[in-house]
Amino acid sequence: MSYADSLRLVLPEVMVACGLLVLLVWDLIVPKRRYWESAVVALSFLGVAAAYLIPRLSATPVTVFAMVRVDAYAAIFQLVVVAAAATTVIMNVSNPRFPRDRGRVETQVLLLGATLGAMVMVGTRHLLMMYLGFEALSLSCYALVNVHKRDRAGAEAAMKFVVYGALSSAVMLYGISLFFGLGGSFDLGEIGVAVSRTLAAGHNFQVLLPTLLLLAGFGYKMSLVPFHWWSPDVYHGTTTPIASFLATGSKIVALATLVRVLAALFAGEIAGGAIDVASGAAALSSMVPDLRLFLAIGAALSMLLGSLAALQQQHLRRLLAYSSISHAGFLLAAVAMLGADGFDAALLYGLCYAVMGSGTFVAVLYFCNQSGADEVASLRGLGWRHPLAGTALVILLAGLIGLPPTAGFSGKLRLLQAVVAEGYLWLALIMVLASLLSAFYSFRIVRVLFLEDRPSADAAVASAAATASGASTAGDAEAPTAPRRLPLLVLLLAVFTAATLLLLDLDPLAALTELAVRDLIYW
Amino acid sequence: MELGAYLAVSAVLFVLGMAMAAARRSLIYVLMGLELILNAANINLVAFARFKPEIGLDGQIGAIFVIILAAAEAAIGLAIVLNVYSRFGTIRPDDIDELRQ
Repeated sequence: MSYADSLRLVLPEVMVACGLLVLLVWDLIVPKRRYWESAVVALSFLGVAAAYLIPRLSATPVTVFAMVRVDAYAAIFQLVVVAAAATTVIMNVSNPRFPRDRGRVETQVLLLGATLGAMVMVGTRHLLMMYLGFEALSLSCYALVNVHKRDRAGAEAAMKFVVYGALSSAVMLYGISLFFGLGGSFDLGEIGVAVSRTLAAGHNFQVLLPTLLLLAGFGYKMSLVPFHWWSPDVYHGTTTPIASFLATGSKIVALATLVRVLAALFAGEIAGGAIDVASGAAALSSMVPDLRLFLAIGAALSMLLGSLAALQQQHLRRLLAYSSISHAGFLLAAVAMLGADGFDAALLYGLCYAVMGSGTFVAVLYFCNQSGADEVASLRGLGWRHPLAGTALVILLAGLIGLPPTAGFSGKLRLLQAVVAEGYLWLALIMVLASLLSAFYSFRIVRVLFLEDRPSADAAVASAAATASGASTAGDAEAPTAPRRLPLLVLLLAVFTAATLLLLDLDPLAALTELAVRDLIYW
Repeated sequence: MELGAYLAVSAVLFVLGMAMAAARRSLIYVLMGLELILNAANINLVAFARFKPEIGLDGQIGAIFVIILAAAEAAIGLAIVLNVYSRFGTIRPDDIDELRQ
């Protein structure tokens, strides 16, 4: 393959990088800037990247420059992160707390940086490249969380994010260095062969230790127990659009990368004899059941702790943070089965969660803009005044609970099937229990939105007080301007339509992920 | 056994780094602990590459990338620590805990 051909294959990443550079220069040379101009630039580059990505959904896998992997699997999740970034850009523009100073272009630049990192991370089978992408995503997100520089809550959130995040990624790097020693290469394929050989020789600890270290990094990115401590505080302290990117784009890409790494490391064990590994491929090592149990316990704790803690939260983004911890547990439960069916189910549910989760964040931002506060109580009666957004939020929440007609239900059903097929009945029971608990906290939101009657005079006083307290905690020097409803409503409708399409028929998406996973395991 | 000696040094550095970060005395300590962990990984990379000649230069190049990353991380980390100090007047992580209520 010629050099120019290779370059053509990394065009989506190049487009995002170009957008980043253009915005940096734009900020310097265009004297009078309006808030939406940088958003339009960012959106158009993201759009071009997406246009290059879509044809790849049916492409044959290629490796470029020995480090970048171009396949359908990467394309699916790169599209997810590009969509999440675009959603965040539009939400930012509609957010009255979006900075009016230079911070507004910085936000777009950092967001594109995070997108680029996430795209690199999922589109590679080279551990060093993966780590570089991981860090580009993390570093951009640390700065994004604190883009309102005068914000006390944002400063605390960024501090917690950096302390936990940098520590877990450093631990992950130590794991990578041990895998490098084991396989003599950063390439996941060669490391997988070495892992099979080591397990066959009975040196389980040499594989178990680096695997656990590696999981620290992914556990932090997906906010899994016991690496979840940062996420409620970070979601609380930052703005809703950034929280939405962390909860959907960043989390789902981390899931996809984790699946890619696990599928390659334990290729011999997962596929049985399907892969021609030199020694001991078919013999299931005793380490894999141990690892499976360990992951299952992490998943169970995440689901239970996330759902239980969400029950008591008064702050909307804190509630959503615990809900997203619980959902990460659901995803890990299927990944823990370390088999093609489990990977399939987890990736499919991850895609559903990305759509439903970002829809929920958009709706929450819409209502927070109306009420001027971030508390659950401030939603009181708003559902009646904004029936369209209210109905959308109720249906999206039903999807997150997993009620029957929604995509959330069929997604969760597949997760349960994958878990039960491996005989983990206790884990399946915990999944059902966590879903029931999630119905309680979701119903609390719905009740506040629609069911509680709203005495008009009291509500006006309460909402004025809420606005005042919201403004004082925000500590923004910029005066909040009137919320722009139109972009948010359009966005909400778009996400809602996507969710409804998923609801009608999950099978095309399922076929896509299934093909991608086959690609991953039998490459 | 020479490789083992290098790995032992890196394991000691890793544990020291974790201990510094876990002590949470100050954010600067945490960042320094972090550097120790990253450099422990670097020692591993370079040692493996040195003692397994078939690997080639991958380990050394990886270590250079990690050094650059550590610099980027320190830059962002210190900027955030500075901002935290000007908002809160302290850099003890345990004293900066208002969001939880």
